[in-house]
Amino acid sequence: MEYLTLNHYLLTGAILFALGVIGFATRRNLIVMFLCTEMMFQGVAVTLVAFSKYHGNLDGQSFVIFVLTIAAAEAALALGLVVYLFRRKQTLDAEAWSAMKG
Amino acid sequence: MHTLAATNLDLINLAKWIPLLPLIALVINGIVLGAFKPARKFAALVTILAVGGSFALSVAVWLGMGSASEFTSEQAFVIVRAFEWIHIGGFDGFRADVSFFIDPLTVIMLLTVTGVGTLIAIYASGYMAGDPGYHRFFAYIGLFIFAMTILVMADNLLLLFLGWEGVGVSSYLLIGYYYRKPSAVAAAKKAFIVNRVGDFGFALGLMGVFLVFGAVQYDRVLPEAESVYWMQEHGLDDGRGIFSNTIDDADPIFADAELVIPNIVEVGKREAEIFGSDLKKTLLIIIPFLLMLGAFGKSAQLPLHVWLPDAMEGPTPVSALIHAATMVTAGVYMIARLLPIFQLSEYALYTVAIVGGVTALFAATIALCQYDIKRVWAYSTVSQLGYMFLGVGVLSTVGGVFHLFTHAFFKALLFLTAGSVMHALAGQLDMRKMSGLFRKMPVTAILMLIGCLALAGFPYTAGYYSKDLILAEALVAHPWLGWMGIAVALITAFYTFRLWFRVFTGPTEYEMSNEHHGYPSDHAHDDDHAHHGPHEMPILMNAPLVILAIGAITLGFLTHDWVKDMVEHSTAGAARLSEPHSPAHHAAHVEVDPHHTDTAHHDPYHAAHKLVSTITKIGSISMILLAGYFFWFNRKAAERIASAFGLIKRFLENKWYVDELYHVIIVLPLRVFGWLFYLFDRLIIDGLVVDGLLRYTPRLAGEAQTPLARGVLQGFAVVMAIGVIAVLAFVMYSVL
Repeated sequence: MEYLTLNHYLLTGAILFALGVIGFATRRNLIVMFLCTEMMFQGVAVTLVAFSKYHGNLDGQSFVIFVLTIAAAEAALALGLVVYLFRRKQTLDAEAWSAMKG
Repeated sequence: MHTLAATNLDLINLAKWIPLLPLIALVINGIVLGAFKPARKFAALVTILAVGGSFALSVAVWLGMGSASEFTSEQAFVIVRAFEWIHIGGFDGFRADVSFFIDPLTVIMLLTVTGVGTLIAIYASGYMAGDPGYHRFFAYIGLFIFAMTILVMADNLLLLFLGWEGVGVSSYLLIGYYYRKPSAVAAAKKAFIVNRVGDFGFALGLMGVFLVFGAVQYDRVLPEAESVYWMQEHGLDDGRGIFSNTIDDADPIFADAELVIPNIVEVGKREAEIFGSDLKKTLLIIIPFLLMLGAFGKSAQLPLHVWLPDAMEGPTPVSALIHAATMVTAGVYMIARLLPIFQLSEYALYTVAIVGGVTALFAATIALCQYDIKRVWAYSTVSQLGYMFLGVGVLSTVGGVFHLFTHAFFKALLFLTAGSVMHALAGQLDMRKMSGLFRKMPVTAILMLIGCLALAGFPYTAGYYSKDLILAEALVAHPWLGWMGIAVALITAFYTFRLWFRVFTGPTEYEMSNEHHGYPSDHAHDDDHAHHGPHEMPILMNAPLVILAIGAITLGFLTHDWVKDMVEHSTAGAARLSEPHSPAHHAAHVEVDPHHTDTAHHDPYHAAHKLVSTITKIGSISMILLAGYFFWFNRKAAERIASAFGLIKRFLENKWYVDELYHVIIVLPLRVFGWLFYLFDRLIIDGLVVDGLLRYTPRLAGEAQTPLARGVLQGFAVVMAIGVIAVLAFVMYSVL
């Protein structure tokens, strides 16, 4: 394994993404779940950058810049929401919010 | 005119300010005066100054041009660049700039539009006084003059189209000026919609011109069309010469684009294959017919004439300016301007001549039996426009444009005097309800008499010269159209004086109407007019009429040679010179074309001219006398004859039932169609689908799913992830 090929990057991205999905599905703490979504983002970002390099154009990289910018804005918003939710029920457990039960 | 100095480009460059002044008037009247009420009484002044300024600039451009023949031999035309507008592709790509094409034809049109426009604006400042929409009216007039000058000055078809639509909009706004009057609103919509039909054809023609010639600028399209025509005429080529090279060379649209956007070239080549030279040849035949449709719409020719008589719902100065003198002649101007393109299609000009001739006859017969003064003039306008098309169609662009020029004067005069009568009688337009007004308003009567003489083609008035020119050339080119035109000239003389004698001679009787500024007035006692009865117009309104009247008498013999010189040396004239085998080929060509000095060629024209002028001289005078007998001395006889031909009279009074025909073949089917859709919507969509299927399906589907939703966040996430995976799997499966 002398050189890092496209597949290595794709694998890294896929692992990050999969960890994010699994984390989101299994953890109950709202903040940890939120961190998991960020992990999924980064997995996708890695994939985009890898493809960008591979194809030799800058589309993917510029796209990632946008993704990161949006993610930053979204993180600020989401953490604010989490604080709000905590104030309402004094807990971070996602189970506490199940008004959508059919 | 040969005493003028040679071309002065500095003066010609002033042309770019001509459209700007009316635009400034529009902004001042529409925005500044709209917001600032006390200043609204200056609205007319603003527009008069702006349009008058444009006229002064037009005169400057004309002086700067020097004599037309010298100008043409030196420059042929000058393009005044204002600013870049649309550039797509490389040098040979699509280009349409806001720049102005100045040649003698443009100058004639500019002088007509701004000159008559100024006079009518002065008249309107009195006519519209006291109207609550005073500033709105003059803002629209500014918009109109702006669009019209753009139309006549444009150096490419796209800018022409912009002006074309601009005058359409201002026409719509001004017809519907009395917007609380349902008939005015309906007329405005009718004008706009009927014009859409024509403009659709025009837009297609414009695209066709770009496909064939690879450009829309006159300075590229017209010379190319002329050279193709020349090759066709001399048998050097079957007309495919310039198109049958290899694609890269032949298609200037896409050849240079290669340097700029590689992908477009591939698309372009494919299109070039599709639109190969055979298709271009077909396009060349079709394009004039599409452009013609636009001209017929704007100039109210036969299939599309229905909007113009209704357009008389607008204020009278508008009828005079837009629907008689200037805008409706745009179609004639467009065909004259694009004559080289029209020549490329064998039957195009013949079709123009036929439609013009038939429309002239058709509208004249209707004008015979109308009672509304403005409608008589409206049908007379349609008929005279038919003459202009007949002139252009038989390659007598000089005749067509000359008639356009003189018609602008005498028809504006006729409309404005009709406006004076209407003003004096508080909106009364029905000539059955007025008689012997000469004693009440002698100045108006004499002014209208002068206009009537010019329209009737009374010897040595303006209308006589221009009409003769058209008829003589028509007689040589297509005798049956020539004879029809002569018949129309006689009918014209009769219906013109039927109106004048009915209104101004005989026992003085009249019935006031109760209109006040376009609307029926509930309290007529507030209105000055209702008190005093018919009265003479103030000097402010009569002064422009006097100028128009002088023009209507003198323009014929004063400007005959000048107009001929101007048009012969414009692009419309050049096309004509390039056609040496034209039967309507006459003396003017001798200087230019030494190969055709044999006089045998000119004899038919001169003979025809002599014949026409003799017939129209005798005919117009005898028709005037006949009208005088029937409508001055012996109105009972006129009524007896009319009732003897009751059926024909009713047929003509109802305008050949064209509106009814359109109602049956266009409006009714559309209504029935709409009603069917309404039923489908009600019964099938609303009944079956919405109330049946859509009401119960989601509800059942939703209730079946409730046990699945446990309200846990992770649960939703997992379900969503499974969904995404399923979709992905499906996509991958179908791709691989």
